[in-house]
Amino acid sequence: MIDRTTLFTIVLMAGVTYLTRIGGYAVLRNRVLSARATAVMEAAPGCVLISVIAPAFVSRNPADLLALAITFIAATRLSMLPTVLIGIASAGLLRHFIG
Amino acid sequence: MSISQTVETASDSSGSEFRRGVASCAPVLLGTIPYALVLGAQATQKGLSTVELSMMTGLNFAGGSEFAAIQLWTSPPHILLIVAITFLVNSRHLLMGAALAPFLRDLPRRKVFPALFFLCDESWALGLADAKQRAAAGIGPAFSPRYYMGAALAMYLTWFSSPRSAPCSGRCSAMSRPMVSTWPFRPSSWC
Repeated sequence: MIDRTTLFTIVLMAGVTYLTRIGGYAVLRNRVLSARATAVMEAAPGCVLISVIAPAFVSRNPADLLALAITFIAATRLSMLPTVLIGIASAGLLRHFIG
Repeated sequence: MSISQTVETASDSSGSEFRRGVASCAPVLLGTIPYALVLGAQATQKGLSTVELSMMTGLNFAGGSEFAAIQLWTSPPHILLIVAITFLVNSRHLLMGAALAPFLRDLPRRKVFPALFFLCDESWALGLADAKQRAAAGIGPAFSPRYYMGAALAMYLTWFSSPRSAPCSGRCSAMSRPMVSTWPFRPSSWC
C-alpha cells in the first residue's frame, strides 16, 4: 500500500514544509527590528494574503469571473459565513451551467 | 466579522479560547472541503493510495504544495523536483512566521515549535488578526495560543480527513473519475 520512494518523497516534502513554517520565527525570535524592518513586517500579511488569492482572479473563464464578482459584492455586504457559502455555490453552479 | 464581537466577551478560560478559534475558522472550513475532495480525486488518478495521500496531507499539511506535487507526480516520482516545488510554493510561510514572530516572543520554544507545524494561511491570518484586535482593545497578551490552536486544529482535521472520504478515493469505477476531478471545482489556481 505504501511505495518506498513515495514515502521518501512525502517525508522530504513534510520536512521542507516544516522548515518554511519555523524559519521566519527561528530567525527573528531574538532580533530587535529596526523601524524600517518593523514597517516591512507589518505590511507583509496583506501582501501574502493577496498573493495567495490573486492567482484565482486571473482567469479567462467567464463562470469564474462572474462567481468572483458575485463573491466580491457579497463580501462587501455580508459576514464571512454567508460570503463563503455564496462563493462556493456561485462557483459550482456557474461552472456547471456556463462551463 | 465576528472576531471583533467575540474578543470583548471572551473569558480567559482556555476551553472558551479554543472554541472561539474553532468557531471563527468554521466558515473557512466550508471553502476547504471542495479542494480536499478534488485533491483526493486527483491523487487517485495518479495512483496514490489512500494511505499515501493521508500521509501527505497529515505530514505536509499545505494544500497548495500538495496540488503541485500531485500534478507533477509520476511513477516513480521525481523526488528533487517535487521537494523543490514544495519549498517554493510554501516559502510564503517564511514571511508569515516572521510576521507572527513578535507576538510569539513571550511563549516558550517548546510550545511554539509544535504549534508552528499547524501554521497555514488560514490559522495564520485568523491568529494574527485576532492578536492585532486584542492588542488594539488592550487585552494582554495579544496573541492567544489557544485561539490559534483551535483554528489550526479545525483546519488540520478537515484537510486531513476530507480527501480520504472523497467519493472516489481508493477503489472507484473508471467512469466516475473524470467527472469528480473536473466538476465543478478545478483548482487551476493552485500552481
